[in-house]
Amino acid sequence: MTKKQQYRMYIWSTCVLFCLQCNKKFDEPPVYRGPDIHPNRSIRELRNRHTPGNFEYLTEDQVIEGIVVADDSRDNFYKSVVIQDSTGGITIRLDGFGLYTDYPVGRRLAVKLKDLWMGDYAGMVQLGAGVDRSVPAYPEIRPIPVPLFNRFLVKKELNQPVVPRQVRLDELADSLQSCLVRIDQLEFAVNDTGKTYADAVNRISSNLTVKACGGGSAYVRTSGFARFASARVPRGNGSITAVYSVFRYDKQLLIRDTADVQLTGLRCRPPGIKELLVEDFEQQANGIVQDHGWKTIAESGDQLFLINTTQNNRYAEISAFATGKPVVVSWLISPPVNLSNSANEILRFVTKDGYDNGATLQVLVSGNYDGANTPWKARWTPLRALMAKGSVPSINPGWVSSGDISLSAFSGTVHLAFRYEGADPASVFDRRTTRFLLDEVRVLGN
Amino acid sequence: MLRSLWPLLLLCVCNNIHAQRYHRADKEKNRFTDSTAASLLKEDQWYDLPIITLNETERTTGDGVFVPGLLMANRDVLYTMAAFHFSVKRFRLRGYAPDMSGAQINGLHLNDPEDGNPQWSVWSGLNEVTKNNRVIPGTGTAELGFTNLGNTMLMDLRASRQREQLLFSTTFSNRMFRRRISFTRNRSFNKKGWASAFSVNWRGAGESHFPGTDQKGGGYYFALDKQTREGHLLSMVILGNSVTTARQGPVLKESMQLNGNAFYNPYWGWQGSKKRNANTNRSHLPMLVLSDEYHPDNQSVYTVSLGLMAGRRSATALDWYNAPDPRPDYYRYLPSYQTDSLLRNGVAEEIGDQPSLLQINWHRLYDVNRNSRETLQDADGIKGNLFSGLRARYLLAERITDTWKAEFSMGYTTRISNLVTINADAYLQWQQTHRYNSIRDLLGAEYSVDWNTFAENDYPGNVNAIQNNLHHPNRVLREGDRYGYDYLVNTARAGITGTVTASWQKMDGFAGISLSTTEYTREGKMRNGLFPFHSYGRSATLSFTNLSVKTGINYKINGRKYLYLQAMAMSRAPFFDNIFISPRTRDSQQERVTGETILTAETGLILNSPKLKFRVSAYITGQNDGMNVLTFYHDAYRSLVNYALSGIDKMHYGTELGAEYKLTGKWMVQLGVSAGRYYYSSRPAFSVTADNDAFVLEKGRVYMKNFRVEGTPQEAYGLGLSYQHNSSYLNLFASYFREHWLAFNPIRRTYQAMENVVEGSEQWSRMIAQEKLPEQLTLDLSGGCSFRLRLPGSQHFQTILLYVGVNNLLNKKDILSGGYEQLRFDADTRNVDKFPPKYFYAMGLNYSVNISFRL
Repeated sequence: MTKKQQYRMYIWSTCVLFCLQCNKKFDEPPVYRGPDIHPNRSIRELRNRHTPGNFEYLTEDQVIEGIVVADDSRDNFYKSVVIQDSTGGITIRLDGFGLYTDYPVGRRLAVKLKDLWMGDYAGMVQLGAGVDRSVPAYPEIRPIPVPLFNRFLVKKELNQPVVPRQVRLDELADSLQSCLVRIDQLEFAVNDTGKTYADAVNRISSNLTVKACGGGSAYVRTSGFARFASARVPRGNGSITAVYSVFRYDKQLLIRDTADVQLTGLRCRPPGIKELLVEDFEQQANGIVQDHGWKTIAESGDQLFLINTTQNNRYAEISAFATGKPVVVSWLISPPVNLSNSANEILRFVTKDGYDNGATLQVLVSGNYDGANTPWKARWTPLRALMAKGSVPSINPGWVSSGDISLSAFSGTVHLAFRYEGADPASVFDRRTTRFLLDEVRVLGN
Repeated sequence: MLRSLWPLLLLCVCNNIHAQRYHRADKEKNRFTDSTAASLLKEDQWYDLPIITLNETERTTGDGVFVPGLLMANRDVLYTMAAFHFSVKRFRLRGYAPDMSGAQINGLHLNDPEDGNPQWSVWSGLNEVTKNNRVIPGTGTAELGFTNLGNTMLMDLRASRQREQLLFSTTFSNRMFRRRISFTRNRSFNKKGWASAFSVNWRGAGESHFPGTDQKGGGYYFALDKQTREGHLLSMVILGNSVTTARQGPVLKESMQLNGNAFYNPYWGWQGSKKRNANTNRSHLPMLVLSDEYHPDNQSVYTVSLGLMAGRRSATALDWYNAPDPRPDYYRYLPSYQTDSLLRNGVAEEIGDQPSLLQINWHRLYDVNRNSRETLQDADGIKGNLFSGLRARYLLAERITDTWKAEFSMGYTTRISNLVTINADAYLQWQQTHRYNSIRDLLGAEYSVDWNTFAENDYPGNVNAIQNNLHHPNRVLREGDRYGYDYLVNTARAGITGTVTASWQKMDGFAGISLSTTEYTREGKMRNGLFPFHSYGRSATLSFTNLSVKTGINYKINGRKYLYLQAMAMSRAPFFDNIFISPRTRDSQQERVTGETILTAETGLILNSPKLKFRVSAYITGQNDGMNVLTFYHDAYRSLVNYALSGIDKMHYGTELGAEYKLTGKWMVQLGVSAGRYYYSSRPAFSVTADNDAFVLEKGRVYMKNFRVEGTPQEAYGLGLSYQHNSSYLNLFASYFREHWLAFNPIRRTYQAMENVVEGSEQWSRMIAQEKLPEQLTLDLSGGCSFRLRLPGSQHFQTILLYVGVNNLLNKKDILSGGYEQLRFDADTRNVDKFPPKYFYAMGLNYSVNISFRL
């Protein structure tokens, strides 16, 4: 071999070596196509075989099929998925996490029933792989172990339409268990509005009451582990889409995510009562009050009522603090309220105070205010209302209701006004800079 | 030489990165008594998160894997046995951890200064050239300088020191690889004073001994020497070894039983018709060595070497986000997790019918990723920027370590009289490693997000805590992007050593001293959302200065009998990973950072006669003030914790015997005994820190005094019978191993874990007992021959060398080569079987056939 040939050989052998080193990329597997398996039983037929309190061992080669309507992606459903067909729904207990990765909402799922067990937990019918009798008084369905998923569950097409059933609250019955239902005209009970869905910090579940305008109630139950547990429930009225569940005699609605709760309308009105003025400031923009016919005017001190937001709640607020003005007088004036077509009108609102050092908020009514920017020229009658006061170190955590203030002594078209009076002079002792928060202004009449 | 191929290749250091899960413990079950509890809403929700712990398997795979190779120059009977026959049990001489051994190429240190382990992958494939080595014991004679405590392999890779030959060699095997081809061409000095050497090799060709594993790789080597008239020998060496290893995972006894035999590997799964392994290591650390050896006269020699190394090591592993654990041997997927006997049998049956349940289901991972369309708010930290796509629930991560290393060393040896030789060395070493996690494969998804999933659960709603990098929040990640962690480790080391050797008629003596200083700095490249002020930028520099001394005498009873006595006292700096508690996220360190002190003494008798080669020795080594950091999921705290141990003392003592006796001219017997006792001799202090908030949760002592040092059989016996006739030989060898202990979990041996256990109860002894692996007997057979022939048309003779080696002749498939107790421990039930030990199994019958042509 000549030198040249030798070098060529070295170079070639090095090149060959490096080529052998190259790593080929793995082929991607084809998209999953499930086996062709068809149901021969409806979910209702299956459920009909259940005797309450009993456990049925399923021995026949039967198959049900449904579309997953709820999964564990937001952690409100735990170790279970819910499937539904045209006849009903059922909850399948599965002993795993992240079930939504295999059984997401919208997937068509066939269940081979042979060797499964059906039972109920406090009335809620479930499918599982066995019965846990470790506490003999309270036997319970065991979830299906992960390695057995594919023995019983057959994954089919994804992204099937999930259509909730439209029902009324009073129609909820055991035949709708584990069905995705949509109920209109619901709202959370007054005591529960403003609460969070559950206690996310301590991971404690909670039951919040929902009411229908036409009467009746149920619980919205949310797990403390749900990812939306710390969200606050809305205060309005509207529709809720949820999986219907029972716990003994309790009717429970399990939402999949907060998007299932569409309570944007006005809350229910008792029959016969008219709302002459309703303002919760929720639809107003942050900043100076100017929407919905409301206006704010500074008589002296250049201070205006502002819309502010705390914990998703909007309200109007005012304070003389840090204005440096010896006199602060400000007005918040409602749009005109027509009292002509009603009787026994009452006014209600709520207030909070903060850092109280003696400023005042009054509520006034006037029949001759002309809507101009000089309200002090009109004749105003003060009304007796309960105002928040005395919260010195911080803002009062709770709202103080004004009580029902009768407006029956007035007639025709009137304006309501909230008049703030404070001061922020140089001398600390003369400062009256209390902050007032105002919300939920209503005038009702028969 | 051919025999030297295997032991090194069998061994693999694995950056074992283990994913563990994170969960919430089952609370008391809510029964009907709680009117609001519906069973599908039980509070015992669990989270299923991937955790990266370095330590879980590193505890055993990181060590025990380096046995200095064949001792061509000073062939010791016992060391040879250790290299060829005891490696089946990962035997380590004297029970020393790998950071006690050393390796050098032309005077440059090949131990990684960060963890002390020899970086064997730098040279491991290049058997044709690295056979030119000497193995010297650390305490022994000082002629070659001051080395580590254990054995050090000194390799001379200069071209002129290679055997002049043209060699083509091919190997067939069923071990780590199936085929190996190599080509070597070495030329000694020509008239102009140049010598060159060249060697390349390739190995691979399919599945290795264990299912789903394979090793592919290639090595290259080129060296050039120039001898000058002035007495200089200038050398240049370039070497590199690129290797990709699809790994074998540790195995639970339960999965082994389900599988039917020990050849189970949880790391692979079918993807199409291919076996794909999720845990693959890659390594390529090319090295350049420039050196000069200068002989000014016959009495002295100067050496100067400059070494540069730059390369990458990486290890892949599955990572997942908001999805179930993809590992098939996760404890909840196994029959033992079922409390109901019917379901337990049902699961076992199902696994029997569907063996693929024991492997990774790659198709499912792709399916899940293909259906995970998600919109990310404020993507890439831009307010209002929406990014929509398939977000990876599963991905294949690659944990990368990029290394840059430079070393300069110089040495001087001279005989100042007929009696006395002195040697002085100095070296300067600088290494920067860049460690980060990156996305190797998105498995069908389109993006991932640089979030800390643990923080997401611990700090719900906190948009900063979840950021792995506050400098780049909500980063949209694609394949190849770095994520999770990213930091540099800068290590600087300098040392000087001096030794003096004297020899008289009846006696030799030596003494040596070594002084070194070591510096570490961590430099974070990401500002972690949990530790914004401790993650980014340079940490304070830690600096250590250490002194070691050794001395010994050698009494010559006669020319063939020696009696020797040696002692060494050594202090060394702690290693980076044992100082920093969680270097991936922050610069926190152990509270008390101390160096280790080691004292050792050894005495022995050596006999060398034509019929008998014999050595017997006794040694004792005490190792004090060691440190360690373990990271794992702590069930009692329900959190990933860093478990910092300090004050670990060890005591090793024992005897070694190696003898080779010629029965007749053709028959020979060898006997080797290494019987030691290696104990932990202190109660180390532990301190537990939560990985996510850095608070010290608990402190105490681990009651592990007199627990056995794990990872190697403490007793190994070998008996060989050889037949040699002309140029062929046959060797039958039996090995017997005893006292091999499992790596234990320190948290079970604490007051806190044992607090409510009745003393002396069965539970008590189960919790504290250390498991001993069964005793084992193995048989190996090897043979070889060589013959010379002249090919037609050739002027020279050619040699053909043939070698056949069969290990584990009895085809035993239940040999445990090691194992460890899982660090995870269920503190509520104290059930040690919930997270049972994991084991490594040795190969069944394995062979290697090598044919070489020397032209």
